[in-house]
Amino acid sequence: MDAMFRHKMGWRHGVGEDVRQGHIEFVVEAVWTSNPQPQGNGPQPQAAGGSATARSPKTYRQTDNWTCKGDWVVANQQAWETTVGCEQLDIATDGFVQLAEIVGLTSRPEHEVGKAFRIQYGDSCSQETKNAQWEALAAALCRRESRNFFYLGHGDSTGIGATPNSPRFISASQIESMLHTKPAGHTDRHGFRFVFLYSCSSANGKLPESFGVIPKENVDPMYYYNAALTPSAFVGQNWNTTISFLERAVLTDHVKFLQNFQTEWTVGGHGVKQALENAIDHYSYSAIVGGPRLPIVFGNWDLTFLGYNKM
Amino acid sequence: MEQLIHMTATYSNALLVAILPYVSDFAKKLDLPIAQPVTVDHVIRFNPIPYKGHLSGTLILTNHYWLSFDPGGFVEGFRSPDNWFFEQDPARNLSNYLGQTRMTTNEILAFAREKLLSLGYRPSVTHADTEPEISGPYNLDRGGHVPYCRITWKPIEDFDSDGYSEARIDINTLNKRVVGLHLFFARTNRVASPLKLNIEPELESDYQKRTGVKLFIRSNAPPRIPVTQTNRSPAIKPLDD
Repeated sequence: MDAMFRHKMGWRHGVGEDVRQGHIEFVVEAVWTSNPQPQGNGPQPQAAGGSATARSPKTYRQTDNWTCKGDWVVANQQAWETTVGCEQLDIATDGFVQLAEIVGLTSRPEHEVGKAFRIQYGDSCSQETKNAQWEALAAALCRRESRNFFYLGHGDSTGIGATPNSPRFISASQIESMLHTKPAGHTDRHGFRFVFLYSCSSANGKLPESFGVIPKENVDPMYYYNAALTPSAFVGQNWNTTISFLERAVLTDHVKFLQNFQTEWTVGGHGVKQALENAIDHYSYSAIVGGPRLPIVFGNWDLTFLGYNKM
Repeated sequence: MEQLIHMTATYSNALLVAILPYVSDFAKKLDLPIAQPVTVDHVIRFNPIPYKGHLSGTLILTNHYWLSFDPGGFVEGFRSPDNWFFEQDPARNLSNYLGQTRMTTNEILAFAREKLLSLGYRPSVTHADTEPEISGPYNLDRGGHVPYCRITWKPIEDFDSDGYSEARIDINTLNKRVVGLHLFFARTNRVASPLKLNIEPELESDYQKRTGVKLFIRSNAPPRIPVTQTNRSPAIKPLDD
């Protein structure tokens, strides 16, 4: 086997880890790889290599490596392009890009000014193009600066996208592998601060954990302190959403709800849970097919738009 | 769709002036360390909700208290700058919060209920006569005590129900002070009357038609300094690299 085996022993601190607590971990790390040279930037293939870390003493504190203020990843899958009002879904998604950029945060993947990254859908676009768009989205999620994510489009409890087991789907297991969020305690952990998946059943599976969000509602701030983690929140749905009415027209309540949430979260300065509640209760909706429903919020309910978004 | 209004200083100031008496009353009833009456001189930032008919907004006072005014016509919450539950850098600032709890659990609960009553919200609305959820105060694993406690009366009705309501109070249990509060009542659960304002704001769409000026949207944030990006943390970069 063409493999290199390396032992490393030393004192270490994670970036952003509080060193004034007198808490120093002694790490014994063994890394093996079949290819000692990195293949360019970005995540490296995992299949042939791996790593194992043994630490002493055992601790529940985790490493949360922040390198800068958390940027945004914003994307919407244009899966309702044949319905009336489909552009409204684009506009609702664009709001997250504009809000991020107003406060000086970059939104990825690369996109038109003021607009979110679009993922095309259907036969009007080649599979290669769509695959490349999904690849760009995955690459944006992997970037060390990315800590916030909004996605609108198809998905299920196992991932985002319409076609599981294809290059046009990002599964929870892929995400946890890319972000090193599981198992807990990974030294290269890249947890997200805020994730809002406006897709079917996004809160029903392991997506919250895959982004590093604790899959429990209303987590106490002291938990984050004790675990040396940045408070984070995951907003998702535990139901299947109907986006269009009889597949003819986009239900504008979705658009209104997202825009009202943006207003309440940013202008209002509320925590994410309250902003969602206000977005539903303080505004009127047409209530066709029941109107908007209150999403599930895992993690920290008090997370504000700018809260905890730093090293 | 909500109608976006063209925000002007005239409208914003009029709304702020209309809200301030509510803020003063709220601060007085909760015995907050805020000068009475609260005037525009005490406000360093006001964020009005920019939709027609939504007479609400949030404000930050010069002592960095944050307060939120509900379109239903009442102050629905506040947080003080020394509220542990909103501390943005707990690891760095923990020492600012350490102390001893000088209240029993029963005293904390009675205090929280008393404060809700002093604001005029009876248990029939807040459900504060039921058993709340309590977080804190906290004994730290490595020694020390954070004397902050959060009392939450969760809704006993579904969110879609008219009876949905939620009340939460954050208390400093060292000096027996309310440091945060959050109230949420379903729109149909009228606990106050919406504010009325004599100024009719111009719709943003009308303003744009009249002036030809478009909404300003900031272009892309400047790109960061290019760095070699990998998904591996610098912290575990091989020592011999």
